[in-house]
Amino acid sequence: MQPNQQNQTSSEISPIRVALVEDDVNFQNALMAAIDTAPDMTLLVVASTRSQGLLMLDRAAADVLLVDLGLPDGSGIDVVRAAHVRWPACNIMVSTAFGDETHVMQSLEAGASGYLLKDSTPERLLSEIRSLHAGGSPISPLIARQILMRFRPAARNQGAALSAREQQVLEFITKGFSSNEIAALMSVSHHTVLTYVRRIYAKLEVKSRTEAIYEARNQGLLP
Amino acid sequence: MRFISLFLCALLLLSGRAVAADKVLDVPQLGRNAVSLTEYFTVLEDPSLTLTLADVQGPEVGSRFAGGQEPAPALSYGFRRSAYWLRLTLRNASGQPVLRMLEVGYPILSDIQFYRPMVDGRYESLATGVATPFSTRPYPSRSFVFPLTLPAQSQHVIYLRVQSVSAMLVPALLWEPQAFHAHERDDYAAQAWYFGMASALILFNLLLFVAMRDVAYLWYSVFATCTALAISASNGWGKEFLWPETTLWSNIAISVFGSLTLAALLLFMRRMLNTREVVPRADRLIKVFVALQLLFAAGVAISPQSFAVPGTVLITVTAVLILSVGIYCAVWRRQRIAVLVVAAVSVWLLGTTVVGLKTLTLLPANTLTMNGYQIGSAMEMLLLAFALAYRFNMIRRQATEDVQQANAGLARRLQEREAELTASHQRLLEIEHRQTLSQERQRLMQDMHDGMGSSLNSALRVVERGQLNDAQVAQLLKGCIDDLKLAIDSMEPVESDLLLLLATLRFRLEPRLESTGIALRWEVQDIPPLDWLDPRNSLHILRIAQEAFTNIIKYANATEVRVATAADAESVTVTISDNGSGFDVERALKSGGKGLSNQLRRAEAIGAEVTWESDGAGTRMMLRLPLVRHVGLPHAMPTG
Repeated sequence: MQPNQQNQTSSEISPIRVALVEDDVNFQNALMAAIDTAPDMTLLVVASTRSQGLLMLDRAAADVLLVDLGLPDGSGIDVVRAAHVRWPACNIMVSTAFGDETHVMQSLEAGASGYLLKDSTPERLLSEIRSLHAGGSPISPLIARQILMRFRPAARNQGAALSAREQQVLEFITKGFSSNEIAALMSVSHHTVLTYVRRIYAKLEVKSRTEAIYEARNQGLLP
Repeated sequence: MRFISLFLCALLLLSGRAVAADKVLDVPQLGRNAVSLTEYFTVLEDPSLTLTLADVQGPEVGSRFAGGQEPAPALSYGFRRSAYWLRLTLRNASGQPVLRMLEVGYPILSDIQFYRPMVDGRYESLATGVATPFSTRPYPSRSFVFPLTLPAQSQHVIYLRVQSVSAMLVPALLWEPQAFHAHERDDYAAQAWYFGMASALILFNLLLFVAMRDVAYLWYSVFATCTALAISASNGWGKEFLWPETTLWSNIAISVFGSLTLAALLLFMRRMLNTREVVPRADRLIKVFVALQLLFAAGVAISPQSFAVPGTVLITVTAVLILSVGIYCAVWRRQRIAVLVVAAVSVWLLGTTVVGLKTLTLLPANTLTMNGYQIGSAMEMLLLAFALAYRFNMIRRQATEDVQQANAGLARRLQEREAELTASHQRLLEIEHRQTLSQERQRLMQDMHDGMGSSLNSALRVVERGQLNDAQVAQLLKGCIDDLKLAIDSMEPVESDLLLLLATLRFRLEPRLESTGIALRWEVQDIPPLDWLDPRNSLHILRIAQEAFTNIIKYANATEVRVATAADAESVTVTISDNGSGFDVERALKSGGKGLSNQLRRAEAIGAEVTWESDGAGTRMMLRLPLVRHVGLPHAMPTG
């Protein structure tokens, strides 16, 4: 509950600055309309291509960056990766039509902390942005299962490992329990469950980075 | 030695002691060296074979003896059937008795009769020769040796009668006993050396034959054995040690072994030079000559006299054949081994020639020339043994190359086979891949037709009628997107995990439930894995459950939905229940309510069972999934 309270108090002082990289004008409009209704958010900047998105990173950092993966001049993954380095304090989330495993896992490995389904209602859009800004992360059962497999002890273990609690959270998720139910089952707050997920995503990003280096060394691409 | 003796003879001639009729040999005047008696003999040919000692001693026949031979190592008349009488006059002018040895050094003379005078003037007769047992010899030696004692101040006339199936060759020497014994020792040492070497080579090659089963070694052993035996027959060594008591056999042994030697040499050469393949025509000729040699050996046994001359011709022609084939193979066929064979035969011929030249006094008599046969034969044997060794090395090198080639061939074939296997494996993979793709495409087509397609069609019809407001259109479209999401989720591998599949469904449907205000109670228990849960079956389960939720949202007027799982020994049951108003299950099934019939058909398609219980307190749908799917169940998709 602690981070949530901080968020609520700080939002009164300074609103959540949102940046958007999205080529679909309708979604741009929908998000602008939604943010207009939210007193605790402002839309800082909107880019509609990959190159604009990368240029945007030269400017002041946003609190939440929303990136569409399918941009007309390339993949939004590049923007996610660059933003993760250039705007280290920024929470990045990708917007996707289906939240399918392949796209979401790629984004998480590039440094995203969450994802947004494009058919979400305006209310849900706003709540997802707030939750992300407050340090929580959404997760689907299929993604949870995928991450569990990545961190399987039998697998080549490079870099970070999951804690027992994190492991437990993922297992509950694969069985269909909601974050509220998991919080009850584990006797922690709902928000704590969401921050577990955030930590898991961070470990996944580190793990994929070290694995890439390890792989490059193996193939002689790195000294 | 011989020159010195000739010189001494010349001195005797000059000293004028010679008698007009017979040259008289003044024995004590001679030194320790042997003296050739050729020029001292007077000779009488007796073609009738009827003359006796009394006849030749008589004045009438005695006067027919002819002398005047040139000094030579031997009397030589070629092949003659006549008997030859030799008369020799020896004188001892000294005051001491003198002991001498008369040696006839041609050990294959058939019959020799030696007549020496006794004290009373009568003659003692000694009959010996190769055709009589060895025991008849007055002195045991491989050549014919007759000891003589000349009393002081005496002159003797002695007679020799010689008759032979072999050439009429009489190399007679007179020896001082001491010198003779020294000569004999040297001679036996040389013979022992030769036969020892021959025995070693024969045994060694026989062992090689036994070990390697290569008939070339056998022919070599036969050849070397026959050569050694032929030489032992020719120099009297065989008569002395091997067959002393035989008569006819010792007379023909040299011819028989000579023929067998050449036959074996021909067979050996056939094998060594591989003439059957290299020179097929000569090979046939070689076989003919082998047969001729064997026939000759048989012929000699029947009639030694009539085969003597043809035998010499046959030997010569065979030697020419061997040399010709050898030289042809060496020069034109570049067979190095043929060079060795030619060299071996040439050495043997050289040895024979040297002996011949020595006999004709064109070469001096010394250790080399006197043992020409043995030295030539020994060199021949050694060279042929060397040829065998060379051949062995060649075969081994060839074998090594063959093995290497075979290995390379095997490796190449293995590689080809591997490539084939990889290719066919690749093809199988591709076929399998294509089949999977094709099945997936069919499944997706079917699902688009049944799910998305029909949803969009009905949405289109409703919108066309213009009876919907924007919110309702949005609701329709959301339904279509949900369908699409489930289709996508069904593509993700859930790996037999039904809970994961249900979890995915919840994750997808929760936002819609939330918006309707219906609470969801998730009361799942761990369940065993379902191995048959592939994308196709997953989608059926998702659709059945989705239909259940849709019905609850649309019709049930419920405030709470409960999802539970349970398992028994044979199946897993998914229960979706609500606290809504319920419905008449019988009637709904009869009227063919589209939702229920779709659920039934999908359940049937995956071998599952779906049932409903409903009353005023709510509805319960139970989907019973078998742990193990029975094969042979219909896989048809529900259509329409």
